[in-house]
Amino acid sequence: MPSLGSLVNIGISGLRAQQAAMNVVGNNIANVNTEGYSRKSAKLETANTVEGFGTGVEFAALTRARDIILDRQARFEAGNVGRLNFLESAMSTLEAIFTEVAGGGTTETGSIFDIDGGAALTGALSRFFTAFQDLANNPESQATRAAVREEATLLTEQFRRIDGQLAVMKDDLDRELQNTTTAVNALTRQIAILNEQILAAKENVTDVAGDLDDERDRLIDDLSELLDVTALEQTDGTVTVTGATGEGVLLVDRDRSFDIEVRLILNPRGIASTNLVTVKESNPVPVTTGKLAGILEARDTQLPRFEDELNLLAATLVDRFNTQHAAGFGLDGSSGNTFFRSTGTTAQLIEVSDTVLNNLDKIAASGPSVGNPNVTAGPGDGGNALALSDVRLEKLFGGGTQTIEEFYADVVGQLGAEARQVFTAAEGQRLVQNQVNERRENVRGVSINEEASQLILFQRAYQAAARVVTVVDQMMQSVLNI
Amino acid sequence: MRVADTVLSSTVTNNLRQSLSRINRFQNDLSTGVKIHDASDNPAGASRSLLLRSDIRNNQQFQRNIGEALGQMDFVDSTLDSLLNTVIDLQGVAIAGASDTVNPENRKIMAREVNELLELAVSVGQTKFRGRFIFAGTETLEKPYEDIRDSAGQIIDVGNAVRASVTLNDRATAVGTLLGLTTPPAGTVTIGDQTVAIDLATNSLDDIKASIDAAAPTGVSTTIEESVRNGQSTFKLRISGTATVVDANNVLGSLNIGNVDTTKAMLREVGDGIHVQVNTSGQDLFEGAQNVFTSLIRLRDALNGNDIDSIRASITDMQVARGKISEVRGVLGARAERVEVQRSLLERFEVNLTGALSITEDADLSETVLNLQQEQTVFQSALVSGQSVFQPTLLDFLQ
Repeated sequence: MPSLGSLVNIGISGLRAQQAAMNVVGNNIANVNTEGYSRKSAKLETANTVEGFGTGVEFAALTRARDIILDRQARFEAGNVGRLNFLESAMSTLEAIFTEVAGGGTTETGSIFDIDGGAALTGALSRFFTAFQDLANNPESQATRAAVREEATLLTEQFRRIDGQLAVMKDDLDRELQNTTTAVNALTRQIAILNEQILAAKENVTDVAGDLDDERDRLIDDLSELLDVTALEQTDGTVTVTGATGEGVLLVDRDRSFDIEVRLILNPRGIASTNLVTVKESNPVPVTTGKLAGILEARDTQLPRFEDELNLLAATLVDRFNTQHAAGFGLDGSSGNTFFRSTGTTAQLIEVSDTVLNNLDKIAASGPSVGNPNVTAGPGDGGNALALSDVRLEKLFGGGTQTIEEFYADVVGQLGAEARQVFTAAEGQRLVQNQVNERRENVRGVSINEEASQLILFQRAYQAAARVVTVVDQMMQSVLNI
Repeated sequence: MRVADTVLSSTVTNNLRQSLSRINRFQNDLSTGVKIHDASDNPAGASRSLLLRSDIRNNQQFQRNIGEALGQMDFVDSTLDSLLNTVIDLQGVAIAGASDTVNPENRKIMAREVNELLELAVSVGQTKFRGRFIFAGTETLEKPYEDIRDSAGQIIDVGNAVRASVTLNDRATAVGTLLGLTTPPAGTVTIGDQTVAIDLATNSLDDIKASIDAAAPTGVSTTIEESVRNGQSTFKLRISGTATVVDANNVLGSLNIGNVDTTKAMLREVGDGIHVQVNTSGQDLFEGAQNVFTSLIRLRDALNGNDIDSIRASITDMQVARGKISEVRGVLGARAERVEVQRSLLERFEVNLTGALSITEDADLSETVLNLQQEQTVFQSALVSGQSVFQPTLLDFLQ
């Protein structure tokens, strides 16, 4: 037979357990807006039975509401979003570089494609070519020749401006790569420290690690925005984190973290470029998702692609134009002069030749004489100026299918299409991420209504347990009054 | 299904944000009137827009070229018109001069009148338009025709001028060396009535001038023109007067010395790859047998010499000259007509291009306003529903 004293203990165990449970509910309500917080619930169990009689209730464990599959899914989507978010900003920068309104000339409100000031390179290109028609109208005039030189200088400046902005962008991407790598290392170190703390906490008391777990999950979430991450929970409560695709690279193992860094290595083409490697073994870190993947894709695929197109444009223009220019005759009867510096066949180096810069008479507006191809047809002949202007009609690109202007319009179109694809993908990916996150939040997030109902339950149970103690007190009084 | 409180609020804010971004877009379209702000808004449209703009720009340039071309053609035409009138007057003089009733004294007076008109015709041959000789083919800075006068100052011949040499940096060094020729040509050159032997391997500009001066062709003088540019002297050999240069070995030709070629076409671009000639060949009018100049000189001399047969022959000469001038004017007029047609085509085409551009990138205002209003409705209902989402919880009902 249990004694009255054990009944008091049962009441007290009830008071303790309900109070602890209310503590949990209170904590949940307090953390309703905490990012990455998983709601906890108190697991109450019956205490040991003695000779068939119960001895009350005890607080058995604190459980975290979570769904491992949703966690993994959320991290995967975070990786995709991380990559696309970065690509999105990189593509809009690239787009702005190629379509920015040129400073000079009148601009049409709201339009990036202005005829006179014009869409950066396109405007400069068509002005350059029409300047040669003006030259054909007035081949003897120094003023038209000066105008041709100015338009040509403006064109080369446009090329160099775009190239310069691409170079700045490349520098920024390199810096971003460096910073993001530092951020990855900071996160993996914190995860290792938390692993250590959780290990220590769990060896003592099973139910305290809860908020530490939340914090570690949050850090892994953050990490998954930066690169591909696989987190594997070990039986001792620690998490092993591997990064990158395929075999992956070990980033965190129990209380140890492994840094990655950006290092200059030679790629297969023999060009030195910075890449991600592990600090210890110098293994490459092949990323496919996360901000790091976005940075690398922008730096190694998108940017070089449009830079190549720009350089091809410059090289073809310089080459074709110089050939045609050399065939003509200047006002001074000289021939075989280059219009652009022949070594400047990239967007960075394109430059009007010193010959033309120093002497406007060298601009070869005239064609050869009919009788004698070695001498000029005369200063009033604009034959070669027309031929130079007609270079814009020649299909020099795409295997003889596109003119210079068509080629550049196509490059801008491609860039726009590429950017649009990234924007659409990013928008869609954010929606997917939102959905997964909502499902995840619906599992682990706090619902005030739910907590309120719990609060009532535990409050009533607490009141009832208190009443048990009161009743025992009265019983004891009765016994004492006998 | 279980719904966490944070999800409720994040859904509301997400929807509001999306709706706002759409409103912003429509608002941007409306305030600028343009629907393509970045290439990514409509890649194909952006690309097309770039090409259309370059087409419009070229079209406007062609119209400018046409203005320029018509200006020159009109000028040439009015010049030819005055020349034609001169020739018609002369024909009247010739007819009058051929009459038996006119005495030799009267013919001498007529000859003086003809001489005046000859001076006029020669100046027509040397007409300049904006500082350029219009009958010199493309060698617009060279006087195409030179006149030779007798001691009394009367024009006795008008013929092809000789163009000046290329500019050289030195007058005393062998020309072949200065021009960097691997095998400098050598041989005889006939200038007018004399023949001169020149070897570019050894002869300098001074040597060539000395050789020509020694041969002394009739009506020809030589000068070496010196000009200073950036402190550096440059030299040109000029053969003045009229003389036919025969240069089989391309000796003086290497120096670009030769008769001015008055036949070369001056071209203007009036459409993609469409070139139109805006000058007329001087050769057709002023060179060869029965040209305007020789006909006039013959008439004057016949009147002076009281040679009625020759005066009668001149009537036919004038007829031929009229025919030549009219023919040249006719060709010029037909070309001007073609350019006018091209201009009206270009003007119509510009309207089409501008229309196409507008369709490509202009925002449809009524549609955009409608979209904006719809989106505003969506935004307002999102706000209202958001308000009811943050409804009271169970806690509000617990005492």
